[in-house]
Amino acid sequence: MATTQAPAPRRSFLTIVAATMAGLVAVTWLWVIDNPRSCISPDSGTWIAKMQMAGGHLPAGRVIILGDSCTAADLAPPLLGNKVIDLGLSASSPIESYFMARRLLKTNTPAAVMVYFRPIHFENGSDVFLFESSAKFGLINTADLETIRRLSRNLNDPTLFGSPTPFDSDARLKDYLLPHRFPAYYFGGIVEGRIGGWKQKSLQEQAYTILTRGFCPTERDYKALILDPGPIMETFRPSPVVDDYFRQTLTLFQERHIPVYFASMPNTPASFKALTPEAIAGYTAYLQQMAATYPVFKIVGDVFTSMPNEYFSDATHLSSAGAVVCSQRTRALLSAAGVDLGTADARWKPPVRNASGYWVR
Amino acid sequence: MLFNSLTFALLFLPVAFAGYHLCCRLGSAPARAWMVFMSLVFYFWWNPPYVLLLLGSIAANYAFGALIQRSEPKPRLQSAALALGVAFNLLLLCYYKYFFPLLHFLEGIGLHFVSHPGSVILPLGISFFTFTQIGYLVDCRGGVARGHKPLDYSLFVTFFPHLIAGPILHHKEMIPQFGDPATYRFNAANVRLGVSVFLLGLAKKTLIADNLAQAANKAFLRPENLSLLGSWHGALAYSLQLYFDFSGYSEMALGLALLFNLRLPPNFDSPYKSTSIIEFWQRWHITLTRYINLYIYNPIALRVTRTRMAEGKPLARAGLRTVSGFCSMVLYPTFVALFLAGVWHGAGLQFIIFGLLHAVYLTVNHLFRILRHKHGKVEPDTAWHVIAGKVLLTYLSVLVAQIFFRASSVENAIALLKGMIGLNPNPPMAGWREMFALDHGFAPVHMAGSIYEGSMWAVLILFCIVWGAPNILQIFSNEQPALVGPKTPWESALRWRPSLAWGVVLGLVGGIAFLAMGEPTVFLYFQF
Repeated sequence: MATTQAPAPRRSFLTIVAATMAGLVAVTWLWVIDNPRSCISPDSGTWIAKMQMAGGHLPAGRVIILGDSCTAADLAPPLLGNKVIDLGLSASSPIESYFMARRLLKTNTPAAVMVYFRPIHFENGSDVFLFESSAKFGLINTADLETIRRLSRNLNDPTLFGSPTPFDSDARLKDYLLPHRFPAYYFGGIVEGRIGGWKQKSLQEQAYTILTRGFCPTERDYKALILDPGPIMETFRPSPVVDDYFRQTLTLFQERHIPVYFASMPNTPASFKALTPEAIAGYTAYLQQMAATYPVFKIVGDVFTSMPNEYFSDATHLSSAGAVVCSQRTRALLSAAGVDLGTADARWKPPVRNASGYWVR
Repeated sequence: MLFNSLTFALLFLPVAFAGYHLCCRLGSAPARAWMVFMSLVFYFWWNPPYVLLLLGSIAANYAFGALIQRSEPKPRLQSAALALGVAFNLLLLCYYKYFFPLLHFLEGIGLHFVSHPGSVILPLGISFFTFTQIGYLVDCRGGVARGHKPLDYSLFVTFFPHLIAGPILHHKEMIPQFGDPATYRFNAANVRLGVSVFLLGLAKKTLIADNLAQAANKAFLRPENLSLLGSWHGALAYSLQLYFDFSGYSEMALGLALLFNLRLPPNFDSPYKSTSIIEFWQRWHITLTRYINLYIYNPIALRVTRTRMAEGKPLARAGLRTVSGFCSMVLYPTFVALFLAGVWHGAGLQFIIFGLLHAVYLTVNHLFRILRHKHGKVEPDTAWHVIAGKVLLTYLSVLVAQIFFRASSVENAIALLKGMIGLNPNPPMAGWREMFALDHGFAPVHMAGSIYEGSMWAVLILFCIVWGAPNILQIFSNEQPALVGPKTPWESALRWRPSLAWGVVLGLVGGIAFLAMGEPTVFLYFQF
């Protein structure tokens, strides 16, 4: 039998289409505003926790760690010392660290800072992560994005924003609408989070990040990737805009006479072996140049280090067992440099996750 | 500017649409001028200096066209003007598309002509607007194109719905529409139709093609790491991505043109349903096939036929049944045409192989047809299993060629093909549990040995759509959104009409597609 459809006046057809579309977009927008955690990555929990810690009033004498996901996953603050707080952010570059440092210094004056970035984070500060994490999680706002864009353009650096078009309309629209929770920028998260599924996980991440003072072990084991060295850097060429933000970060600490220590996080043997002499020399020279320019900046230990495969959970990050070893090693290095990290909790055990990825208390 | 970007949807399109219909009230010339202006803005938005290149190309070709038309009484001068015009276009195309890749290739094999061969940004759509204009010049020479006004010609070349990735237009189907007064009257039926077709195309791009991209990209990044199952998954994901990306683009172009009361030729008509390679090319990138036939294949075949006629050799079916006749009348023009089609798609050995593979397929297909006729089998097959077998064989042949089409190099393509026949070291079925798990949809699937993206179920469901669902030309066949209707009509009460149900469905589909526009990605055919 042929299906029949309720006829509509032809003139109203476009009105029906437009009203349905507008209604769907409006409902989604309101939902995103009301439930931002539900449609941004579960990582939002750790970012929010770290932003809270940075923006709060910390006790005097704290030692702060800034860096990328390696510092977050490889270092367990309870094992480093009770004065240590790890503000390292997953998939972040020195740009995000600058904004974290700025937030920190508004209300705090730490005794010392440790930094580490994989060299790749100086080369390709990722526009995806810049927006997907920093802007969505609230670390940077529209004005900050505009500042970064202006700097990128002034330095003629297309790393973050691509080759500028005369209007940069899509990017500007995004800069404006993303912090206003425009749903088109959150759609991927809505789908991947299965409409709200990420909220609980994000809240739990936040609680555990605060409990562990910033320790974020990698979520899953991708042991099969450990033998893969990943993309090989032939040389080290920092992106001008990322370099500028690293310098701005060091300037912030220099002005406040806060010492900054660079301590390396380990590579897998495969990644370590794949490092070219040019890349090693380039990154080392870059850091040495920073140390010469900013007297507060010091390099402790080797710039590139390695640990055996059994300590890794993927090609880049240590497992919890690896983090224990790395934390002890880093504590020794920093202590030898004269940094007071406080007392380490030798009995501390890393939390574990269940099969669904939730922390088990 | 991308059709699937928020800037286009929220800013450019409303301005272009409103401005056009306001200008229509002033007359056809202001409306045409407005569309040329907006099309240039559309191009300018991407790379301002290249607007000058586009304008220069239009001006030069229009001048060449005028010269060719005026020199009709002097055939030698006319031929010289045509040769000069074609050479001008090909030089432009070669410089931007092939010159630097060639230098890099030569450097790679140790031939250093310059110390550091640089590169140049490929002007978007250069292959399309160059081919369109070469065709126009050839038609000026043949007396088919004449007396066109500069404004009409400019609009014919720049009209933004086709400017970047086709369809490749023919002046005879567009310029008469520019002269029709109905084009400049507001037509609510066309707007309804245009919006509906555009939204469905947008949904194909943002909801399907873009989600398949990750799986395809991962597979082609390191194909040597894939298992047999993973290799097939990656290849099929790319094949579907290309299908939905190109059909999405083609439908968005049709829909956009309808908003301005213009109908474009169809470019896509369920190609994976083809029962032969000959049919495939009648359904896939239809306007490119037409172009190749008109301006490459037919002239070669005609010249061969004339030569054979002069030599007294058999022609037509009798000629094709001889080896020399088949080689000169089918094999030769097919290989030349498909070789050029491959090169047109890009500078790289893999594109040449793509073209030559299709040349082989077409030649075999023609040979098979001739042999069938010779043995008296002229009726088409009707048994479902024979048709299904033909569709599958055609699709698999196309898939192999598509792997070269997508691969970054010939080695890259061969690595994936080796995986597809189980020659990679990984266990053939590695990761099958994860790929067939029901709980992750399009979400990433991580497996030992490598990382795949996407579920096999998604691929299988999409093949059900590809092979089982009607296409846009069929769904809208009552209204005919393109200049030509579908190859196979579709009789169903579910065909589109401006009803409440269709309005709500399109509103929901369009709304979801709009929500997915936050991260616009380029259309695959933009690179050509």
